[in-house]
Amino acid sequence: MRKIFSFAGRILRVDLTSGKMWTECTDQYALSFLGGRGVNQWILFKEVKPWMTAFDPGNRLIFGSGALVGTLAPCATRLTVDAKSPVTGGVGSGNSCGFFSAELKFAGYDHIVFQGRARSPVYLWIDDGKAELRDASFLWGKSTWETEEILKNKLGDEQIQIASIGPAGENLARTACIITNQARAVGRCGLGAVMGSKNLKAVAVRGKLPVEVARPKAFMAAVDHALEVIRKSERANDLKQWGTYGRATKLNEACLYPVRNFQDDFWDPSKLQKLLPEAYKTNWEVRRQGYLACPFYCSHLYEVETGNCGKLLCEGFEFNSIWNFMSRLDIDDPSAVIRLHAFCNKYGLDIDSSSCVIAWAIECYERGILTEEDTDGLKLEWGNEDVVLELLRKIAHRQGIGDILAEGCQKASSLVGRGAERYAVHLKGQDSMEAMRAAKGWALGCCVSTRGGTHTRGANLVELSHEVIDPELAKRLWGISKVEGPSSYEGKAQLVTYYEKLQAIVDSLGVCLFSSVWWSPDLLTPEDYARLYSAATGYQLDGQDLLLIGERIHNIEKAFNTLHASFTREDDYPPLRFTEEVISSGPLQGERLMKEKWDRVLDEYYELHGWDKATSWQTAKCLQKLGLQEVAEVLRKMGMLIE
Amino acid sequence: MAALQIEHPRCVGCRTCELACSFHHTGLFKPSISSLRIFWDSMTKEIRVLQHDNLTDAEKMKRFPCDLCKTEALPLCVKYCPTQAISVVGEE
Repeated sequence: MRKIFSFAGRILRVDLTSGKMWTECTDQYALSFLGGRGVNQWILFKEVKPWMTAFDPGNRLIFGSGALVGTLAPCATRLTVDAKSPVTGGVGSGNSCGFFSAELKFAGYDHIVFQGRARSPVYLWIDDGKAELRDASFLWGKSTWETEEILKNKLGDEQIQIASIGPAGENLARTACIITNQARAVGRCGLGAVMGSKNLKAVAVRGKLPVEVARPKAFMAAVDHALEVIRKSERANDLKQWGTYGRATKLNEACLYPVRNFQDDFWDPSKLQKLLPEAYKTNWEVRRQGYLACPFYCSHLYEVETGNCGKLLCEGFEFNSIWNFMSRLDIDDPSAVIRLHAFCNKYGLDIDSSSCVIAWAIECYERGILTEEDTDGLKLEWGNEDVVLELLRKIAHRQGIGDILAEGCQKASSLVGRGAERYAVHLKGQDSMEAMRAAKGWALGCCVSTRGGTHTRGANLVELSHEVIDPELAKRLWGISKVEGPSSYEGKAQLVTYYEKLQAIVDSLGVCLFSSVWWSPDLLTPEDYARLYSAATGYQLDGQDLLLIGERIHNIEKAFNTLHASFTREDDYPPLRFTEEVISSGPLQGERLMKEKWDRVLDEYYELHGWDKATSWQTAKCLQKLGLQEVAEVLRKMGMLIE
Repeated sequence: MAALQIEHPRCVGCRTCELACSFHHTGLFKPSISSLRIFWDSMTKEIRVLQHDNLTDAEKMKRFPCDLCKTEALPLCVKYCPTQAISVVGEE
């Protein structure tokens, strides 16, 4: 093994069909793709062929730690898992907080690449560099919480870290995710179902090996600098106090709340009033929860009554759970979000995708497209937590109506027909979580996202605080003279392309997006990350170098989507609901996305990337600039490269 | 005698102190040799903080005893704890 600072140095390969395992060196990938998501995506691109389906044994399921994980670099505690997605047919990628990622490095591996399919359920046990596939029949059918408890008891160590699937993944629900630390979800894109299709119930890791940085003094100076930047940030303190839910009221006033399957983007303030962050702190918070090297410790541990199941202790929830379970489904009992979030985690269900498909079903029921004959006798109503809990259980086990809902709203609506497609709000086939009519840059980032509906690619938050952004900063970071407000399309393509690169950088370094200029312009920039990376690895890079690598990673994903899912420009348009129906209440009543303006902003976006405007496909020139001639060659052979 | 004091209610279980401690002793990030051991019970979610003196003899052999980071201005666990849950009490 060749030594490579800040990395474990090895990638574990596991063929679940044959049971064979082998290793390869990380350094062949790390310079070009950083680590984490970057390396995962390159392996995925190279090894998964377009004719393989997501549930084909040939699909790869790749766990990746990041280049800075396992060190004191602030927030370097993230895990990325990638595979071909059973939801979009293109890129599948999910990212999670938790202890698993660092433990994987301490156990001697930067990545694990699974291929094939085990004959019967197995789990992978990695103990200080030694890996072993073990029978998991006794775990099949168990929730992620039970799986974690049983494995920790069996293996006899509280500090073992476990990533597992619940019944949802086992039953190939396309809304399934992978759970670590009982509550940290590798969400979206159906990655839990890919794990289930491989008969892989869990990965358990324990490690006592070191992570060594190249220049310790310079590294600690970079850590201290980064912590000082975070300490001075006002918005970081907001995050520290309230977690991601701190902007509850402001985001409703900005009309970014999905209400009743996007029939509106503004939620009744009298309902929101019951759900303000202070209420959770006072009534249900037991303590705060943090993860390695995280100065924010933005997670919260809650205790809540569950009726017939007694008290439930659960690490909870991010802002998206409020959007998903409260405004989207119009539930205003504040404690409901804690329960629904917890049950999703137990079942291994992605909260975004699951709530979206449930909202679609309720609207179809409301409109008479679905009836009680279709819903196993359930009355699908807005604001009914019990119905939602029952639907979650059915989805996870693919029972009755759950078997259809487990497909996600696009596929479910095709199965139902009868006009149900109109109410399926999705992007590239993935249920869309975000309200998009009010903020145009946010909408653009979601619509062009390589992994389907998501705000964690190019979507930005800075347009919401545009009035306080210094033009100098706008010029320096995004190359625009000023940041326009959310209703403007001006300069938004630049913001989106910048944040696509930044997101690829942070996911590949293994740091949290919330430590970066995504959450607030006074937080960490690519320059700050480059200083940490250079001291940690000994490879001297600056912020521009990192942005170039970020662009490279984003382009690998784009090429994967073109090859595997044949996505074109048409797939970068918003759902019709956002162009044909207006926001029906609140401060921005009447607002919608405009098709002709969207045409123009898309042109601008493709031009910035150097992609073809007519098809959205990549050009030979753009890929050459990024050193991706190998990608260009594959696209050329398939007739999908613009010369 | 000077010693570390952990204010349990402030601790959020992030184990950043383990990273910092191991770096002081070895120049490496290796929580398994840290003088402090933090873990949380996955069922009760209770955080437990064990200092070197409270470890089993077998554990003590694998870990460095705390020297209060005498080569540093401040013990690194104190410096990097995000919640100020660790402090030094008593005098040398």
